[in-house]
Amino acid sequence: MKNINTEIIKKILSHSSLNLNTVQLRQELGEIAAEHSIQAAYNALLRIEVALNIRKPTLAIYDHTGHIIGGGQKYGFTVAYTLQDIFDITLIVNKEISLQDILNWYHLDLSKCKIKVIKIPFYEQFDSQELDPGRISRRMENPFHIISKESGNYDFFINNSMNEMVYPLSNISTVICHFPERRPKSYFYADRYTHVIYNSKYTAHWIEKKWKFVPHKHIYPPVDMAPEEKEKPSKENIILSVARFEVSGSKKQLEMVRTFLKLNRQFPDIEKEWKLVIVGGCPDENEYLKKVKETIKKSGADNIELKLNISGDELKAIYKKSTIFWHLCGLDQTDPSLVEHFGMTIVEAMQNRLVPIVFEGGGQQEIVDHGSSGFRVQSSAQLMAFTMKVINEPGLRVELSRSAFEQSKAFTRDTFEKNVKAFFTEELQKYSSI
Amino acid sequence: MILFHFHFLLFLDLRMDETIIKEINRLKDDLYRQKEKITDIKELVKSEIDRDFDVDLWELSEKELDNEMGDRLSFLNDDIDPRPDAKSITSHRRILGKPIVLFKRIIMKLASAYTNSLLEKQRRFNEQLVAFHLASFIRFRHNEKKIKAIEEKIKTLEEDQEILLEQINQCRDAIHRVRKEK
Repeated sequence: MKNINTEIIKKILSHSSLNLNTVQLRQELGEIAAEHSIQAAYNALLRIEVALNIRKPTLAIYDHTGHIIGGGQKYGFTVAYTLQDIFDITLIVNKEISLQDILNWYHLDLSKCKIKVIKIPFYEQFDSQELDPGRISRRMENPFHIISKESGNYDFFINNSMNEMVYPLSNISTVICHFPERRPKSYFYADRYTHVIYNSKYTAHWIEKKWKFVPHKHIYPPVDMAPEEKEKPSKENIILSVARFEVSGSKKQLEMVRTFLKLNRQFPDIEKEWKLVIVGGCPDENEYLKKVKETIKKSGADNIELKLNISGDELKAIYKKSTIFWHLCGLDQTDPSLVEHFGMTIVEAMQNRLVPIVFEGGGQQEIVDHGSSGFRVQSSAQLMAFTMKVINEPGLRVELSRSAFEQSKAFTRDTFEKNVKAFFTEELQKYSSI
Repeated sequence: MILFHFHFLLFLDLRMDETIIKEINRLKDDLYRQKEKITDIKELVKSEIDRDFDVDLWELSEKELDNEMGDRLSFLNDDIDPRPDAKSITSHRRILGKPIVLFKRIIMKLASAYTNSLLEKQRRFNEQLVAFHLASFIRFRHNEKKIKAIEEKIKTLEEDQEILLEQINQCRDAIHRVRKEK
């Protein structure tokens, strides 16, 4: 919401320097309500409360996908974790979850936060866990206005959804953009927020292109997969891939299997000594996963392993012993939303000293420096060539692994928390020191 | 310009008495109640919040074009019938409103005998047009599926070809070795 309050609040508080006259205060707020709106008057009062130190500032974080496990959601909940000592935080979701769920999924203790479940009547009619904003057209009422209205009850409001249909009413509002999926269309309000935080330069590029404005603050996502113990883990000849099995096949596991089979055929040593391990989540067996399984089965190769829906501890163990990491999301892709927006699993691999060989596109270009902390490739042929280079040159492998590990430090949870805290502390200072 | 007030606030903080806090709370409750009564966001902020955006179709990705086609088609489908609905005639005037609306509805009823034949023709035309677009859209989808299947097939053939070439090379090497040994 447009911030009209500073001058008005200054005026109100200047009366107070003589004597905080409650009649005058009521009168001033009445004038704001008449001239601007009830919400503006309410916001002015909220700000006065914080400025006069009457209460702790309030902050709400909304995520319409908060009940589903994912990287974007982890981003939002880590923001809550970071700020829970400074703000009185409410997590707004549309489906039931508990603080215990968040602790189990992301190892984040949000015991100082509250959860508020606001069901959206329009989506309750569908038997689906997903609240797809794509279903909404201008010819119908905006069902997300129930959240817009709720946003006006807090000092700060953060929208961590890939959903620009929530109109912010709070004094300070922030939308965290993980990627601009939709173009400005019906009920588009991303430009009505005080700030837009983005997760990668790739996302920023597409915000400018699709939404036609420059976003404000860049904060990379938090990645915390580094092994706890300090000693270097012993590595095995494993090429690893970690990605969800999307129905669209956008993570390109099939291409990786095909490439590995080619390596098997062309280099007998690979077949004898190396293994491809493909790890991925997939709640229901989809067509794409079936195809990957069939291709492996048809090939008869016994050095390709498929690991589905494994636990966090099992994943950590595989990262620890693997040597090379493949990630091809974006290969042969024309839709920018299907190219990796950031690439959290690449960073996880780098934190575990794997050498990343990734697709040259999207957020992956910001994580891996070609030739220094891994390689970026544009085709399966290049993936093969650079993999063989890493396999055949042990000295280079050690150097790349070390650099990758160093580079991964830019994306740790510590760095993320520092950036988030600095940004919101500064905003809070501006907000409370009128 | 704001810093001065910060010092003032610290001073004020010490002087804050219960009466003021109570009054602020009362005011807050009062405003909150007023706010809760308003359901329309536009009314709550006293300004227009929605805008229309131009879409440059050339900028859209395949997926976006797909969605755009679906959206536009459903828009056309919703507006097939151009005949005016009596309920669409309304008036904002409090006293004169009702007779004006009644008068307009009578005129509409009288004119409908003449306009209906024309508008019915238009309705049938619209219906055909939407059906035609839908058929094209479905056909486009079928073709897209076919292209994807062909691409997949080509990939498999390329792989098979590569395997065959590899086997040919291995055979050639073996023959070469045997010849050398002889």
